[in-house]
Amino acid sequence: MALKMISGNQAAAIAVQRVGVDLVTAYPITPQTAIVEALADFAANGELGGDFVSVESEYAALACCNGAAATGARVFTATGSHGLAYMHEMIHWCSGARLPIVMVNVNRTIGAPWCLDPDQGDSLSQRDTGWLQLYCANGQEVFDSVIQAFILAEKLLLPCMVVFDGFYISHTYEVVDVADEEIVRKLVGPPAFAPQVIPGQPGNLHGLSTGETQLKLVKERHQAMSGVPLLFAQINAAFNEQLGRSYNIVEAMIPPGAKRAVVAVGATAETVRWALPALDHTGLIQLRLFRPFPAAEIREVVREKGLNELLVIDRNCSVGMGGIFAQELRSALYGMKSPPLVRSLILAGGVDLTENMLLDLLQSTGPEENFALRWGDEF
Amino acid sequence: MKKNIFQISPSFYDVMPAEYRELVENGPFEKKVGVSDLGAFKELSEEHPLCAGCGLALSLRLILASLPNPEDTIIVGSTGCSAIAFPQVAVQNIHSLFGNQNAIASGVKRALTLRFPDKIKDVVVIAGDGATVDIGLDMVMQSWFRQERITTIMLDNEAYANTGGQESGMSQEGAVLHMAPKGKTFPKVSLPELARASGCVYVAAVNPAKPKKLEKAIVRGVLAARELGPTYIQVFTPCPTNYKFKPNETIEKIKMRVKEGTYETTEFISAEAQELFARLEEGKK
Repeated sequence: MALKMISGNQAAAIAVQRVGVDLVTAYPITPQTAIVEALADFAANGELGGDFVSVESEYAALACCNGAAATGARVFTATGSHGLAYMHEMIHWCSGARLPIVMVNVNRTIGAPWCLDPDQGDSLSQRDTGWLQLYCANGQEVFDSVIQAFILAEKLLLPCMVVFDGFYISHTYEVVDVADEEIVRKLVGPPAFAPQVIPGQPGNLHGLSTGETQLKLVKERHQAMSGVPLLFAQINAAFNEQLGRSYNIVEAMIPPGAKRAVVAVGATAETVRWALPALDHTGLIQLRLFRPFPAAEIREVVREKGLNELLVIDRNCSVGMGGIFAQELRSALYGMKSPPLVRSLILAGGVDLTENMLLDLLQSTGPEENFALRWGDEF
Repeated sequence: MKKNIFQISPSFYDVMPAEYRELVENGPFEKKVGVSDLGAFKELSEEHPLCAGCGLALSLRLILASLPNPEDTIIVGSTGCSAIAFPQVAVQNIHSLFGNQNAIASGVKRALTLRFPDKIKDVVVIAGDGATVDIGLDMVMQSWFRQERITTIMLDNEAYANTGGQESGMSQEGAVLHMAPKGKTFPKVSLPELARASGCVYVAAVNPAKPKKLEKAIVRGVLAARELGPTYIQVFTPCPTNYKFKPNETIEKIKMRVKEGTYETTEFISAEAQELFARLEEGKK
């Protein structure tokens, strides 16, 4: 145990240092800047285990990661908001290239207008790029998820995004157990994936392919993602053994007899967790994973607990359709015998979730609520 | 690195394409070859898909023959005509996206330096004019500012040739091309000057009409990048398909342009590069 009072950003940076990486590429953007600043300090003090390069943009940061990872190097970068959007082309490319790159995305609204608050639309708009996406609810989850992300990514040869809310997590100081370097390095191990480029060998990487080839490769990536639940469980068993804590892909906290639950990710899940005692017969389902979407695990919780009502908190909005987690959840529940009512609260723009909002929402019920959206400004 | 580390698995030997077998067995590796030896080894398979008379294909062959250590070189390519020939090239290469080739190359170079601290690993970017001077200028110049030890080679056919002949920053002013039906309205970008001002320790503009000069520039560019900092080499590679001249006139076109002064061949050697080249010459004696 090594308890420290640190911010979410510091937790992410220390986790990267504990893992040990060959290259960090960095470009500053609020609210993630403190992560790459801390990593620059680690590198300057010789504690990173590798090289640190400040590049001219987020796009170049991920491109640089791509080149380094192709040689078999373990790499890391961090971004958020417009930085992530600017990377979009490379985000697809890294997944197609099967490079186990780990990137932290600190949620921040994408404009216009310019806004710093933690809407999740940045990471969620990268839904279809083939990256694993882990969502963290507090500083401890940030520290642990960054470590686990390297294991997941390198075992599955898929890039992994670790996501947490700007300010609510990135700038909030909490007590975090930052495990010792020795334990973390033992858990993660040295990078064991094969280099894709080898000097002296005739070979072309990622050159022109056919649609048929692409189909096979996409299928392979999709199948690789299906390995996440088992691997996640194994990783957490090892974590528990070494550090005495572990996580589930879907964390269900359902009081006895409760037939409804709030579904939340990230900092909102943490808020709900603390509010649970004040909520009447209501549980919490916290999702730690967005890609792959934990459909089977959610259905199991719903079936086992006999839930008939879910209230999804979406700190995002797919304009023209509604909350993104709500959509994914409805899709995951489709075909169940008497699926639960799915209600949706939209806190786009990263608006804070308050206990009053929850209490107010939980009072209104009825089938007409199934597709009705409630907006955060109605309270 | 010893070339014999890389051998086709005997059990796959019979199913590997003959062209690939040839590249493996008869590539330029460990042979210390140069442009005068072209034809005596295999740097690019004959079936490459570039057009007849392509100045780029010719230049690519010359560049591949000139690389001082092909067995320890990674080439980073970019979208464009050259990208469709790269799968047929003997030297290990990566297709980047369009414009980010120098950022990818920076990552490759830094990681190779970490992974092989005691060995020479050259990273050479070979991209077209659009990729280098238009969409990729930001990442090209930033890699120079950062003093990344990579060689940047532009294959300048003065157009977006792979998409059918649109104007690029490297087209001449007045050139009538697709998307410039009344002629290009601004002059050809002088990237050699920008390269020099951006910190490149060696800069050259060469062409395949003078293969020995081209070879010399490539060797110097790679050696200076290995020891000192970024280098830039611009190769004039006229495109018969989009500029509508006969495939057998490519070399004549180059000579004509050089003669009329519309395509300058230049060489800039920084003081430190000068010293390095003198030292290397001295070592040879």
